[in-house]
Amino acid sequence: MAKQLLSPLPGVFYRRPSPDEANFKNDGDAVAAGDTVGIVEAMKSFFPIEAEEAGVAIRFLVEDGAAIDAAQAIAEMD
Amino acid sequence: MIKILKAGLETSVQDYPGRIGYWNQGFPPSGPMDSWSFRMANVLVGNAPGAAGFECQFLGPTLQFGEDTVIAITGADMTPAVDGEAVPLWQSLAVKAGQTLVLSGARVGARAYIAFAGGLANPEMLGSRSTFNKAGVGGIDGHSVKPGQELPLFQGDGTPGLKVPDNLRPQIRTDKTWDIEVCAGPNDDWIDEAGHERFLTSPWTLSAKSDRTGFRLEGPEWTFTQKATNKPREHGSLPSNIIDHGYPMGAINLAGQTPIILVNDGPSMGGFINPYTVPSCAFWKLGQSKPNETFKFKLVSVSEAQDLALQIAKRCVAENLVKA
Amino acid sequence: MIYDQPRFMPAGDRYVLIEFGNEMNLDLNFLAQGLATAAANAEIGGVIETAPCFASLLVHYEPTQIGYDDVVREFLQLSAALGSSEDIELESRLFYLPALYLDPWTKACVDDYCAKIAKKAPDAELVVQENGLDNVEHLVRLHSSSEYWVASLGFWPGLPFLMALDPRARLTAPKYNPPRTNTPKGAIGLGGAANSIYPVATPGGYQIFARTPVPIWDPTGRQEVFEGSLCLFRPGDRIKFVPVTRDEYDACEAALNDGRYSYTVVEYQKFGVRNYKKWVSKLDKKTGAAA
Repeated sequence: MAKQLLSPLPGVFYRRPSPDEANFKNDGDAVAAGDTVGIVEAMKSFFPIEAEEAGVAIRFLVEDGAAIDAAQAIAEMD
Repeated sequence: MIKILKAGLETSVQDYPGRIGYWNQGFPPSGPMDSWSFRMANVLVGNAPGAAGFECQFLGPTLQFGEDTVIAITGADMTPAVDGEAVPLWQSLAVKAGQTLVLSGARVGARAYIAFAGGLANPEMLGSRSTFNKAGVGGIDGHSVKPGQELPLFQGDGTPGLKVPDNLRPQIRTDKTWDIEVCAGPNDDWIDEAGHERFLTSPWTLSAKSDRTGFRLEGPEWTFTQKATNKPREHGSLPSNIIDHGYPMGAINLAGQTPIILVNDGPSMGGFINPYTVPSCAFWKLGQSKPNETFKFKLVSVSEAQDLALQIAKRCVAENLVKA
Repeated sequence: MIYDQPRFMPAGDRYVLIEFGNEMNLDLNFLAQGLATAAANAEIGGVIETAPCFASLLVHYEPTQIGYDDVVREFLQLSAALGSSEDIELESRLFYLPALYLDPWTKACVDDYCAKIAKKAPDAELVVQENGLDNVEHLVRLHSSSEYWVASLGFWPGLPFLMALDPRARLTAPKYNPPRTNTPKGAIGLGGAANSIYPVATPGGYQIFARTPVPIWDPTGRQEVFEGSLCLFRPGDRIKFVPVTRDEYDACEAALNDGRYSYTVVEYQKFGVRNYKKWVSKLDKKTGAAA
């Protein structure tokens, strides 16, 4: 059963800390509880999205730079 | 007393109309961005429309009540819940000492308002309780709230079970597009006809690099008249540069080619032209819009804008409330 | 150009912008401040506040109490009654502020900018070159010789935009490009034709070459000399920088920390534009220079 990772707030979703850095996670990566998987930008601040529990392989559902809503699933993992 | 358990994203104390009378020393008014929803929240709990309450942005706070009181939540839908049970927006509710109010991420709109019977009783700074976060003025310790802080309330006399009828609430858009009223000026004569045409007919995208200081817009190019290109040197090198002048709140400030709407915590002066100004009646729309949503601007006259603001003020009175 | 009649421009539903001309000219600021004072004295119902800038005045009004056309009419009348700028007299406090010129903090800030952001000439040297001065000592003598006029406040609350009242001390300098990400609190600088003092550590674009230890911003609002505000200056104040040695700077800072410092301020003066102009024209005759 896939577990979904939800964004707590609306904003713009990014998969990497800054444009010239690597993605926090790539599709298929293992995730530990507390790992940052992306950030949401709203009001000039960046809010980290952290995994609440561990997963074996993550799959992203949202493109880098896409606008997202509160409680929208940004990734799922097994 | 209200205790902050979780802060949310820049939740702050605001009052309406804010810190007025210090523009010539560079102090912005601050205050709630959607003052329609804010005033309605106060009216619901029996306060004057301008009493101090919370503005919650994008991600709401978690609060614990230190006393029995009456509250109302308006504006954005942050799916509020008291002790885990969902509570309605646009209604006055009784809460008990020890209960916890949780506001989550904004599902509809961007800014929610919480009013408490009596109002928040943090000290006034230059005649207002509003928070000007950037310079550390007003609110509690000058900034947005932090976990562990406790805020006193004034004695209030609120009635639970009152409601704002649907037709008196701002209709927050869910289709990500907004029609925003604008008035021409003060520097509309710096923009050529094609530039005006593009501004008024093109969709503009709200950038995530927007906050209570300014709303940054992305859209087509601006083109200018002689006034912008043929001017004394001291105006500056860009077409949109002008000798530093006062900025009205709501100014659409043209920094190079990027328009920035100057909002509640914005600067009082600077060296860019303001071809248009968003009047106060449209500020609730700015307050409820989110990054990547689309603005279309609609030209109105100064007197039309004044009349629209008056219509909003007339709605925000206790006589309009009904039983829930 | 100075306009024959002030120009009124609507700015949304609650503001009017009044322009007096389109150049940097102290006269235009005297007109703006004269009109601001006249409006405050007239107590026009529905006019909430005004804010003067270099060549203009922004008026904030309450449209349920006064309409746009009435605001324009009232301010036109006040403006006509003011007459020429020569007749304007303004309340003007004079502040003496200790200043350590060529101080180590602004120098360190500029070095840091050169190392991290972009190479540039040291700020004091750049101002010397741009204005054909002999050396940095000449800059210090000239900069500290004039009184400065608070034309406007903004960018940050309490940040003053200052014009040299002595035409011989009118210097100009380009602004930083890109701007600095930080500036020491109390730094004194020059950008375009305006001088300023940074109330707190903020980003900035002016050339910086001195620092005052004296706070011009106090978020607690407890300083008596701030008269109930959080910042020291108001439009129409004047400032004179008093060069101090490093030892004097440190002593001043120590006195501030112990609560022993008292601001040096002259409060009984009025600034008369006619007398000021008379003095400037005397200087012109003496030096034969066009100011």
